[in-house]
Amino acid sequence: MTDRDEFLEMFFTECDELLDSLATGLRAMDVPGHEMETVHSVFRAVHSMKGAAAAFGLTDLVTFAHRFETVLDLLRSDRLTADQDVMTVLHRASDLLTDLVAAARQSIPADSTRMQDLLAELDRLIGDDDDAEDDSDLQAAFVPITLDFAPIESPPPATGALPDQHDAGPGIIPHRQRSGGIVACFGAAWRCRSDAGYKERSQTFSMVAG
Amino acid sequence: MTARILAVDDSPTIRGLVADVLRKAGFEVFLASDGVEGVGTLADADPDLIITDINMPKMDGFGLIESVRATGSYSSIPILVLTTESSDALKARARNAGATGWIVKPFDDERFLTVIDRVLGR
Repeated sequence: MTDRDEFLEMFFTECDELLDSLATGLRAMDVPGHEMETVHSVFRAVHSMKGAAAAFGLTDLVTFAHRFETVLDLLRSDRLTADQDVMTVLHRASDLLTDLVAAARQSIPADSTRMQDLLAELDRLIGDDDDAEDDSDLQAAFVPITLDFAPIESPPPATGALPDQHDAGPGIIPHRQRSGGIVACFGAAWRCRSDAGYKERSQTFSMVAG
Repeated sequence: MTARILAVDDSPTIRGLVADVLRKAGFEVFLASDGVEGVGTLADADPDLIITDINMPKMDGFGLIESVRATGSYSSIPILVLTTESSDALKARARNAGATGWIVKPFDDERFLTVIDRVLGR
């Protein structure tokens, strides 16, 4: 078994726990007056699956989990109400997520028709919320990347002023070109330990889609 | 000198992947599963760099960054955010909290290490 296989198995074990947590949380959300922490917990379960699935290139899982968590984000920010219609869609989405994990585990194709139907249902709930995330950044995360280290655009802060200098520098540098950036660094100053003691760093860099 | 890195993420899979990459690259790695545990690990880990997720239970990544920045000993060490989030609003919030940089998952191992080397000044 390769390292990747071991981590993939670890991921599926984690998914089992997260899917349990998701199902339990959704049942709690069926009850009017449920605590907001339950919604946060459900969001984190789906979000965690998305993040780890991305590491293994499980694109169906990532795509569906992303849309699922977008709806949950609307709920946790009070931009959507967990009424019966919404909860019905969320339970169906939870069932499909379970099946997507199972399909990935068995390396078989997902039921794309069912997935598209539920993505449409989730989109219906998302509606035209301007603040809801779209998938463009998500897709960009799969674009091959190249490094582009750029020099800092303003002088580094003075020696000894570092603890208060986290907002120093040119601000968030342009980190996204063409189809999406992978890394943004903020131009803040920080200190690195070295054999000779501390040395100051303030270089700004970015990693952009290639 | 072996650099010490504290990685904070609520996903055991992500923790495992990050730890594997970092240890194979020769770093000494410490792990925590949320912000509270991360802050509690600071003294033992005595990190040169912190890598943190954003969405975590108990204390999220923003809370962790603010807590670390509020401690005298670690107020100016580099902190990288490693997350699937990519909105400019969240990046701005992280920067204001004191983050050094932002890495979007999934990451390419080699480039991830290049960023870390650069942040560590190696």
